[in-house]
Amino acid sequence: MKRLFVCAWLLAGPLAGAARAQEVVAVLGGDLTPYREAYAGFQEAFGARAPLLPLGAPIPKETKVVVTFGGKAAVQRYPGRVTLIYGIAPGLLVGTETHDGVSLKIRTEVEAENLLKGLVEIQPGLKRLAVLWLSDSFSTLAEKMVKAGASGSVRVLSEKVESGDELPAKLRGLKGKADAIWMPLDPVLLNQQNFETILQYSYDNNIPFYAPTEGLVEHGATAAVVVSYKDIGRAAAAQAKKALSGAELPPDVYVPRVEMSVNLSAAKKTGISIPSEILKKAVRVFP
Amino acid sequence: MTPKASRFFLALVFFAAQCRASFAQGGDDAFPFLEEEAKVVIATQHEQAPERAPSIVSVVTRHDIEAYGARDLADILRLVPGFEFGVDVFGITGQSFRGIWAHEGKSLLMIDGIMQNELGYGNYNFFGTIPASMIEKVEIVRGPGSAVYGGFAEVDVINVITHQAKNLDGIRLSGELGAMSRGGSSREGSVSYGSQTDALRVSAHVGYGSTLLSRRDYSDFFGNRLKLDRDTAYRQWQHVVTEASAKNLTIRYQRNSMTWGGQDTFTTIQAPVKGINAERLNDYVDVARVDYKAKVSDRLTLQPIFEYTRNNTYSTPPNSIIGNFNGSNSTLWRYRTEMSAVYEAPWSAQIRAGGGVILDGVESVASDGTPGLQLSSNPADRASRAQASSAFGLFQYLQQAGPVGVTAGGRYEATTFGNAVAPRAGLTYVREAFNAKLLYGRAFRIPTPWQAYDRQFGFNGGLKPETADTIEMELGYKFADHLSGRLNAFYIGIHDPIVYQGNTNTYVNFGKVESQGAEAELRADYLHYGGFANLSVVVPGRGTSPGFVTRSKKQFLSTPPAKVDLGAYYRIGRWEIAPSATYLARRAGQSGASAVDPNGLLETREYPALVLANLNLIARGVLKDIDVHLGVHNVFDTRYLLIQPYYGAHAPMPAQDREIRLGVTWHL
Repeated sequence: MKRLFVCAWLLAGPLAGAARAQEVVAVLGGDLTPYREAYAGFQEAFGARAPLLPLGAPIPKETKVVVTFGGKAAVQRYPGRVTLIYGIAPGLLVGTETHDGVSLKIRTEVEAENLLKGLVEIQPGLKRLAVLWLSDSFSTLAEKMVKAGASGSVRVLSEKVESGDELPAKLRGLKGKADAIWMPLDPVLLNQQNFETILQYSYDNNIPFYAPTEGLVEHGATAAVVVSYKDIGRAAAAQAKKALSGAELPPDVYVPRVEMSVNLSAAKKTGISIPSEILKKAVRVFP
Repeated sequence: MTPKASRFFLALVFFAAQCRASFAQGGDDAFPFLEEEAKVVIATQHEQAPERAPSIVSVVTRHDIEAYGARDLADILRLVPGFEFGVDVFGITGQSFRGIWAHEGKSLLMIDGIMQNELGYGNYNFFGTIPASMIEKVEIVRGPGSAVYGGFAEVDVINVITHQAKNLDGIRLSGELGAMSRGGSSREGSVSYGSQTDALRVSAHVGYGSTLLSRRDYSDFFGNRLKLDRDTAYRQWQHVVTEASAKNLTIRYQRNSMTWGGQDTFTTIQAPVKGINAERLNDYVDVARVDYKAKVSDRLTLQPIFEYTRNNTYSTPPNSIIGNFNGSNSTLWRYRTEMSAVYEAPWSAQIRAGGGVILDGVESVASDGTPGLQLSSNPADRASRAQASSAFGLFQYLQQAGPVGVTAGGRYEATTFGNAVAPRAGLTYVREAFNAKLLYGRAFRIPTPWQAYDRQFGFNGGLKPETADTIEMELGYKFADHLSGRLNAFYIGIHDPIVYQGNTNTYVNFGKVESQGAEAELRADYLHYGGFANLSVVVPGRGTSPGFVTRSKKQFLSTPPAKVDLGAYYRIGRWEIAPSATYLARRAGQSGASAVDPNGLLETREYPALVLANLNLIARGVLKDIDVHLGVHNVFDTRYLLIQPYYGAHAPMPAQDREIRLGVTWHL
């Protein structure tokens, strides 16, 4: 009896974990690094293996939570009974037209106050920040940035770009109005050519460009204040556990931990001197 | 090993198996990741990119307006496919679009969504009006707009957007001085103020301008000659454009006024009277508008609108040389109330519905003090006030299904002059860099009470709305980021156009106008350089009434069968230089023999092809917040003539002499 009990106890953990894992499945939008990083963070924090389903695969009957990373995965049709937790879907807000059940977004962007605080740490003289965006889904973020700036020391100019073609003219119009430029992760606006246009403008006019991803800092943006994809995954795991426990979920969640990365040559080209404590604090310093 | 340790070990192994060496974020996937996400966002966007709009749309941005040195709205429109200008009575310069004389109510012109067409004839007078200094951008629907806007939006819709509060964020002062060939001059000054907070948005634009149509000599068809100068060819403009918005309630007030010399009158130059060599005309429009955007839910928005418009219509002073029948006391007004609803359906569709009432009125007293209006075929049935009304309903359904968009809708208007229906349908396709559109729209133009009742015209109790059917096609391609091209083809058929018939001195529904052609555009915009090229070709349809075309019917009067616009800009440091040019192919206008022929001979003469070339130079930040620009318009002083687009016996009028213009803008 005792042996039976010990075996049951030994198995209970893994079996319980396995059962719980079936209640949670994951779907990735593709095979790109951000999605994989987020999934790795999710697995690490969730503590049990959540099966990775291919895009479009049917969701098992026992599944209660679907966690997705990537926009393509977020907009798939999932049964209304499941809770959808989605991350790495910049510019997307899943509404009832896509998913009938509960949905929760793990935000890719840093909360406005923390973002501004981080940018001011990088550029202590920052007084006017231009925020460029195109997709309407970023209008609320832009408003939050303006409000956060109004209660702090930075004046935020929200500049909606009507189309990628308008970007050069919009940048020219910023001359004399901004000490730095920041863009959210607006994938419609932030393509390679537009990024190079902004970089060129940034270097020509000594106006630092703060990017929404570390990868773009490596490509020449001055710096980034971001949340890591792994932390997004970890946050998704925390929410998945809450969902399984029956707790009510908020519509979205910000990741509290923030990382900085800096590009020294871009900083030099744009005429700013990064404080030494920031260089120590940054997770990546590109030469 | 304990079970807990075993579980931990298994988890660790699994975690290690999942980890891959890479950057913490981005890395080599930086741009492929953005491309992937962009596809998803674009596919799910409900707002319309221009490629998905069920219209052929042109947007002229502030950058282009400044770069190419536009002085006024006419300069802006000249560089857009399909537009050209012509002259009508009293030196009024109207607009042709796709060969169709859009004067007298076929083109809707708005400033910040508020109609500027005068209520008497539906006209708008270009050249020297709506200065570029107050314009943020111009949105143009190159096609019918009656399904949304109702009357006057028959062949095109032009919406001038003034500098918005957010962009102004303070005060903008601008001033310009121009020197024209042969001693003419121009001047213009404007002040714009804008402020936007969370609670309130306010903007105001005030300005004055004065220019000359030309300094060349003008000869009519009857042997008279007039020197165009500051006493005979002046064009003076004033504007007050204001807006205040708080908690979704917006109040707008505009007063725009133009005064100009019309010595040429209808056909014949009037001789001076007591040494006064001028016929002074004025046209003003006063508009007050209130609207409210009520967001009932995340998906449903209601917008009630109330608008009051008042204007005169080509009023002349009491000592008018020609002895204007109406004197200077004619006033026209319009009350418009509308309620519209927009519903964003969860199945990627948008439903728009609405309706309203328009009440038009006219008050007119003849120069001899008698009532100026005749309300029926009985000449004794006179009045000094008359009204006409219409009630309308509109509906539009827009469905997006992946790359395909479908639009269907229409407007029904029950008017004093008969009912009018404007259905529309559209199919759009957008896939990656390619887009296509196939569009149909019916539009209408309703007679005005002035045309129907004014005693200076013969009474026509049978005057009814004219209608126009337009079929358009567009193919567009984005060759690279910042480099795109478009090709459009169109057919427009106007049935029972409202025309002035000289031999009966009456407005009648008569004849037909058909226009067909194509437009092509190429555009590049980069940080330091860019440019555009466009081509418009148009020919009349065989069914077009003879009054608008050459005898061969191969060409419209006044409109060139082909127009080419070119422009380029290059920016280096604070300097920007931008040449531009317009080529107008050989044009046709009524001949002198035809104008004087008592039997109404329809005969034309040709006017040679010409090039209008311009060059503009801008220096930004010359002093703190001060920009300076120097433009030369019509660099080669090409003799440009405004031609009357019908057989109305008005000789072509010189316009747009070479002008060197210096301007300063100060952003406070």
